[in-house]
Amino acid sequence: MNFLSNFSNRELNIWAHLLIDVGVAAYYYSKVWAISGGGLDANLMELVRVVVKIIIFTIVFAIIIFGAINLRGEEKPDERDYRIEAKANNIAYVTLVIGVVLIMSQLFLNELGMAYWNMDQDNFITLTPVVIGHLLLGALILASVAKSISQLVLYRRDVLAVGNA
Amino acid sequence: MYWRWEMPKDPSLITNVIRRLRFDNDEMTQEQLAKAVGVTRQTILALEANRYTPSLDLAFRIARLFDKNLEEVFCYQDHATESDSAPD
Repeated sequence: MNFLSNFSNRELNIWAHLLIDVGVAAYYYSKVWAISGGGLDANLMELVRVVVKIIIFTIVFAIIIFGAINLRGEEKPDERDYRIEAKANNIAYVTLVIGVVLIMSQLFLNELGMAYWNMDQDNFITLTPVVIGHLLLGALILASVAKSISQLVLYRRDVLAVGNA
Repeated sequence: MYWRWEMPKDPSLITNVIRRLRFDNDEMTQEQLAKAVGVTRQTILALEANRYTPSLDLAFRIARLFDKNLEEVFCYQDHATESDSAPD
């Protein structure tokens, strides 16, 4: 536990966020894969059950982990925290835009491929509304992960620079 | 007149003497300084390593805490000006 003292509460909070994001994504997509039998087009009612489970698990986990972190004492964010958060938000925004553009281009490529290049539908991911929903959720999670990672890198970069000075 | 075509990589750099001022003031800790000016210890750490440029508000709070003028605590190093004024 001693190594945790090297991290500020803010960094630990970000690590917890990252853990939740990755955990939720791994659980959600593994369940979707299992329900749909190796694809993304899962039954909606079963999906709702998975989502409710995830929401309950996330709330309980968040209460426990954020409570434990803040036992060390609450830290008010200062101007550097806001500046780092703004940079991380920029990176997350770019990641989200790239994700959405990739999904949109897949939609167009599907249509173009089938209409003009006589390609078989098997060559593409079948983009039903549910599949598009999964992909958009993936883009959102990816953006959130990108935000957490960039915040952690920006915080650690300063600390490591001091250590090397 | 001496002109340099290339842009300096880091056009401005604000350095400071916060670490020395802390030691001159009864060896004040980073934690104590951080509490006194309302920031986290990590911010003081980054400031002392010249890894972070503070807002004017924070710069004034730090200077006033040590009873100094702003330019006694922070120094603005203009790379372009330095190289222009350097002897040939």
